[in-house]
Formats: sequence, C-alpha cells, structure tokens
Amino acid sequence: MKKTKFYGYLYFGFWIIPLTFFIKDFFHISEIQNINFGDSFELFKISLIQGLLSVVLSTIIAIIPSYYISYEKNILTKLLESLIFIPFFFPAVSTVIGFTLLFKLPILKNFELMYSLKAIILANIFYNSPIMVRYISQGLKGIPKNIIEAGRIDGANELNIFFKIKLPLFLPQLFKGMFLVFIYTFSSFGIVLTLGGLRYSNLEVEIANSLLRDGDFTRALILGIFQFIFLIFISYIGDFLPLYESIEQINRKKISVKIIIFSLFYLLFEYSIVLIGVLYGFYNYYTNKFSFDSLFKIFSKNFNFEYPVIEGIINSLFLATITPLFVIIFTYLLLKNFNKTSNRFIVSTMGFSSAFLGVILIYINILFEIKLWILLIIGYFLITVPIAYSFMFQYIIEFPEDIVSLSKLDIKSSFKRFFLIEFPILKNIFIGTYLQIFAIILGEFTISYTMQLGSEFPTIALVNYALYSNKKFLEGAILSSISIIIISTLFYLSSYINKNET
Amino acid sequence: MKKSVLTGVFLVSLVGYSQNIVVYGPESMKWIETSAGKIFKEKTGANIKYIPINGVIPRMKLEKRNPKADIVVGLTDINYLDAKNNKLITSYKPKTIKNIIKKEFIIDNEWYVTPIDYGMLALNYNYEILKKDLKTFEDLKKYPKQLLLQDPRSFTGEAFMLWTIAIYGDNWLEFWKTIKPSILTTSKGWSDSFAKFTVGEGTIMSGYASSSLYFYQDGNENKYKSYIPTEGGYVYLEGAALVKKKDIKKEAKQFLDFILEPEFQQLAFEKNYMFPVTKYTYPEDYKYVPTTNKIVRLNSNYVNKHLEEWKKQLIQELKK
Repeated sequence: MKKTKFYGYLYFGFWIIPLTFFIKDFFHISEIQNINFGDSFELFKISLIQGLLSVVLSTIIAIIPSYYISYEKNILTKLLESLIFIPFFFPAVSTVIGFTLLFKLPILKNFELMYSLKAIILANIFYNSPIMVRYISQGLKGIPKNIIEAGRIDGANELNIFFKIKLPLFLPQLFKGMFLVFIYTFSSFGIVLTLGGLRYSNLEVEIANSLLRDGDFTRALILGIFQFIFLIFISYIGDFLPLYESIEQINRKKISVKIIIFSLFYLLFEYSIVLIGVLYGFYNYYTNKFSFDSLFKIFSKNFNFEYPVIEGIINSLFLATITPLFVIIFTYLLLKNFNKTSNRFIVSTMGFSSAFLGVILIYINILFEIKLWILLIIGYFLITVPIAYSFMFQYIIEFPEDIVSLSKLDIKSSFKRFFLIEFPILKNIFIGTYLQIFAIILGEFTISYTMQLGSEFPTIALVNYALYSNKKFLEGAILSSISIIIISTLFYLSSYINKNET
Repeated sequence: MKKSVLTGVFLVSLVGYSQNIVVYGPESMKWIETSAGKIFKEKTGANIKYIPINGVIPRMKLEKRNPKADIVVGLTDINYLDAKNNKLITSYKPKTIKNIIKKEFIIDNEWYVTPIDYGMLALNYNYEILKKDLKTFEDLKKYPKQLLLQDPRSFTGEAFMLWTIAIYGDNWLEFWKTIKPSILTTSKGWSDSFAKFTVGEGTIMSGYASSSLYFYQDGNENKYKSYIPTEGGYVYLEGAALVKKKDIKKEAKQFLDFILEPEFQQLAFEKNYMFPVTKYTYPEDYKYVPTTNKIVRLNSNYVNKHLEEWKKQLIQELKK
C-alpha cells in the first residue's frame, strides 16, 4: 500500500495554523529585550531537574514490580498492571488531596515534605512509575527464552546474560518509557502548581502565568517555543531506537520474598492515594464524619442554579462521546500510513503546553467566532491523538498485511475491506481506546480552564474549580470522587475489553 | 441550491450569538448574573450574561481587536491603569454618582472606572491552634512555616505586596526576607490559600477583613479570627468599566448607573463580602469585621510605574 505523509502534515497543520494567527498578532520582537533570559534559564533548569529526578526515581521504583510482573501471573500481577490508569486518568486535584493528607500523617509530618521539591518528585513518582512498570515489564517479557538458553549453552554466566543479552533487548522499551515520563514530568502543571507553590514553578506553570496573569504573550510564546523545540530534540533520540515488537511471554521464575514484599508496598502506596482521593469526597472534615449529604446536595435543583453540576456532567459526557470517534478514525489512518515524519510530529506535540493550546483556541474564537465547544473538541483531539497513537500503535502496525493483501483479490473497495476484514479483528482495540480517550476527556482540566469556558460551556472540571473557588470544598470533593469513580470504571472496562482481544 | 442552504445553516450554527450585555469578571462575582441580573432585567429589560474570567486584563488584551464583553468588573484602583493605558476601557460618568458617600471612593477622575465596593486586607488566623491574638506584622515572624501567602501576580498577592510596600517603604523587601521562614507556601491565589487554611494547613493567611463575616455565618467565629496589624490597614477599591469597542450598548451604560444604586450595593455587601461605596446600614454581624482608622496608601500612578518591577523582585526573593 502506498503510504502518504498527508495525515502527519494535517495533524501538524491543526497545531500550526492557529499558532500562526497568535504569533502574527502577539509576538513583538521589540519585547524580547524585556525578557530576563537568566530567569528563563532558571525555569528550564528547574523543569529539567524535576523531569530527570522523576524519571530516574520512577525507573528505580518500577524495576522490582516490573520484575514481579514479568515472572509471575496472579492477582498481584493483575493489580500491579492495573496501575497504568493512574498516569492517564487520575485527576491531578485528587493526587494533591491524597498527598496533602498523606504528608500530614504523624510519621511523615516531621519530614516537612509539603511544598518542597520532594513533594513534587514523590507525586511524580506516584503518577508516572506505573508507566515505567508497564514498559519495563513489557521489555522483560519480550526477551525470547531461546536466546537466553543459547547464551547459557555458549557458557555465559548470569551476569553476562543480563548485560550482554537481556539489557540490550529491553533497553529500547526502557528508553521509551523514560522518554514518556520525562515529557510528562518536564511539562507537569497541576502537581507543580499545587504541591510546589511559587518556588518550584517550571516552564509550563510560567507559560500559563504569562498568558493568564501577566498578559505577556511574547514571553509565553518564547517559553512555549523553547519547550516545544527542546522536546522535539528529545524526541529525536527515539528515532535511534528500534520499533517495538510484541512477543510478550511469561517466563515463570521463583520470586524472592523481598521482591513480593516490595511489590506489595508499591501497590499499597499507589492505591492508598487513589482511595484517599475517592473517600475524601464522602468525608466531612468539619464534623469528622462520613456523609452522603454533599452527594445529594450537588444534584439538587437549587444548587444547580448556581453551580451547573448536571450541565457540566452532560457537557463533559457529550465531548467525551464525540471526540474519541474523530481521534480513533484519524489515528487509524495515521498509523496505516506510518512514517518517521508523522511519528516525529505526533511525539513532539506531546510536550506542547496545554495552557498555550487553550489560549490559542480562545483566540481563534475571538477572531472567527467559532463555537467554543467545537474548539474544545479540536483541543481535545489534538492532545489525545498522541495518546491514541501509543495505545493503537502495535495493533495497527503489526496487523498481518498478508490477510489484507489476500482480501484485495475478492474485495475491491478499501472501505468494505476495512469493515469486513480489519474492523472485526481490531474492534476491541478501537473500543478500548475509545473508552480510554473518553475517560481522559472527562477528567481534562487545563485546556477548558485556560479557555475560561465557565458559564459558556461548563464541564465537570470547570464546575469543580468553581466549587473550590467559592469555598464549596465538600461539594467539590464529592464531584472529584464521582469523576474518579466514572473514570476508573471506564478504565477497567476498557482493560477488560483489551484483555479479551489479546 | 439545497446544498448551499444547508451549508449556510451549518455555518450559522457554528457562529456564536451575543447576549444583551456581556460582563467579564472574577469567579467570585457570578452573583452579578444570578442575583443582580434579575433586578437589572426588571429595571431595563436587558439580560446580563456573566462570564467568569481568571485574569480579565490579559483576556481583554487578547480580545482587543474584537471585544466580546461590554462591561468588565473586578478592576482595582491599581490594575485599572493597565487597562486604561492599553486603551481597553473607555470613560463613562454614571448618572448615579451622587450616591457615592466619600470622595476617596472615586477611583479615576476621568471616570474610566465606576467604583463598586471596597475592602480591607487583613491577616486571618486559626485562634484554636495559635491560642493567642496577633497584633502586628512583626508577630508573623514568631510562627515558622505557618503563613499562607499568594503569588504577587494574583489579586490578593499583589495587594498584600503593596500593603507591605506602603508600610515599610524602601525596606519592604527586607521585611519579606525576614518573614520568609514563616511562609509555608505561596499559592496561586486566594481561593487556593483559603482551601489550605480551612483544612488546617498553615494557621495564618493573608486575606480579607470581611472574611470574619464568613467565619461568623459559618459558626466559626471562635475558631478563625482576622486582624489588621497596628502598623496600618490597606484599603482597596473594586470597580467596573465599559469595554472600549465600536458599538457601546445603552444597557452597558445603564449597568454602570445601576452599580451605584442601593439594590446592587446591598448585593455587593451580602454576596461579595465587600463594603458599599454608597450609604448603607450595616447588619449586626458587621461587628466581627476588624477595622482601623490608620490607613496606609500608595499613589496609583507611582504603583503603576513600578508594579511589574516590584513583582519581579518579590518573586525572585520568594524563589530563593
């Protein structure tokens, strides 16, 4: 099949065209002299430190649970694997609540973890180590048993087998995970903003501040472009890694008690934050009692007159239903036409500032009066295509071409061919990806917040923000809990569907 | 033909439509649509569409070529100058100005801004934990890692910084250096600090004197208290302005007239926890709000000239 770069360029165009309007009107060369490059370098340094520390520590923490997953298959394995929902779906606000309460425990209180670099790194590890667990365990499982056996026959000892056979084989997976974690932590927003405070502001937080508080668009553009170029440069490293090949298998091995205990502690740490996030909504900290009062209150007519909780849920469900359809169709076409240029476009935009995207989209609304919900769909489309791309990648790329070639003899129409041959095989992957994108959109905050859609088109995240801003803390907490419950249910549903597929 | 009609209908559905008058302002002033809006409609027949915007001036800068709002509320006696100098707002002298009770409440002599209400900054503290009343700015130094402050780029953070400049003059940054050990964190804005304060993180926060009304109404008047340091109090004014655009609606001007009428002023007191700029009989619970006769001030033009530089200096200090 002749492959085209059209979809890659189209995706890039979706980013570049609105950005061009913004640059044309707000980038003033004369204002560059007002920018303090020393400060900007400091911001870069802070972002880099946060990114690097988070990557290294997330990797170290993930090694033992990954090892366990690779050599065992039981309930603990399943629970460890399920943690992958955290980095993609667990709301930052709930993470902050979880860590705030955790750091207040008597055993941790004296360490003064809150509002420090340690707090940011710990939260980043909580958020991102499941990504490393997924990638490292996939890498370990993917090492063919016969190569190791061959090494042993040739007289290699365990050390040699590890360094000369295992390590080179799982390094590509390791680097891919590290790359993803680096992008997420380098450009982290919610966690840095709330757990770090002003002192630990990174590039992403400063971009949002320049846009929303100072109205210094030139500075925001320079910081945004710098971050973008830096992450493109980092993404080049990915080009030197071979493509992922899925040959997962479980090589059962006796696991030591220490590894089991560590894995259990890791699981406990991750799930304790999730549970705190859920239970917090049902806890009235004024009366120190569990209560459902706030749950009934937020759905009452009077309450909805001031805070459109129901409208927010309906709007979010609407966006989350529509957007993944476009995302999946587009990502499928993109992957069917896979090439390095498109790949680079997709990967590099992963680090693009969401706050910046929100402001660019609102500017398009100002210029052309395009409805905000349409722009919001475009925004969600742009940020979720790279995620769908990574979810669907191996299934589309590795789809057996011979089946498609043979079907060409009987079915001339490519559309029919897709529905009769490919769709039945890929159906569950599409449904799984759909549900995952659905969940991400349901919990998304940065873009809708930056676009300030408040009363125009309230979403769950925005209503939640309004509740917190207006001191409705108990009501805000219950809405967060509801979001987590919906999101977690969808995630497990999608995992179940995907598991049946594989 | 059919196709082009359908295309036209589709395009129309994509394009937004305007409300009677669109008001931009902070999240905390949504009552302008839900409560004041009803009275305004009865008086003028016009609807108010309130859009909460976090950072109204940057948003107005973004919309300069094609402004969507008719009115902007929540401008202060300091930041309105940024909007005025950038030609984002325009002048209008309300017909109801005779209702303003003090000359000091007039923010701008050219009437680029109509005053809505005023407030006094204060330090709120958790008396149940501290078990002691606080009196001065210097008292803050006695409580390590207890103080919740806001980013000077936020409204309250900026006002608190100006308050310290008004008190300490050229030595204001020295004061900040000395209170640094007391700071628990500098959060993005007042709401964030208040959330942290109410869940028991930090026992002192920079905020508003009128928060005492909120504490009282919530039955927490013995737990939380507010104080204005003996060094002097800081008053700030909030106002509304007409957005500069080609067609200024009659209803937008009527809204500015309405702001100085008793119904609106009462709502500003009840919903905004701020004090009216017109004659008003305060309710009984007003006694919980601390006040002072010693007010410190800064010249608006002087502030406007140095504000950005001060913010940068303070941010740099807080990041150290």
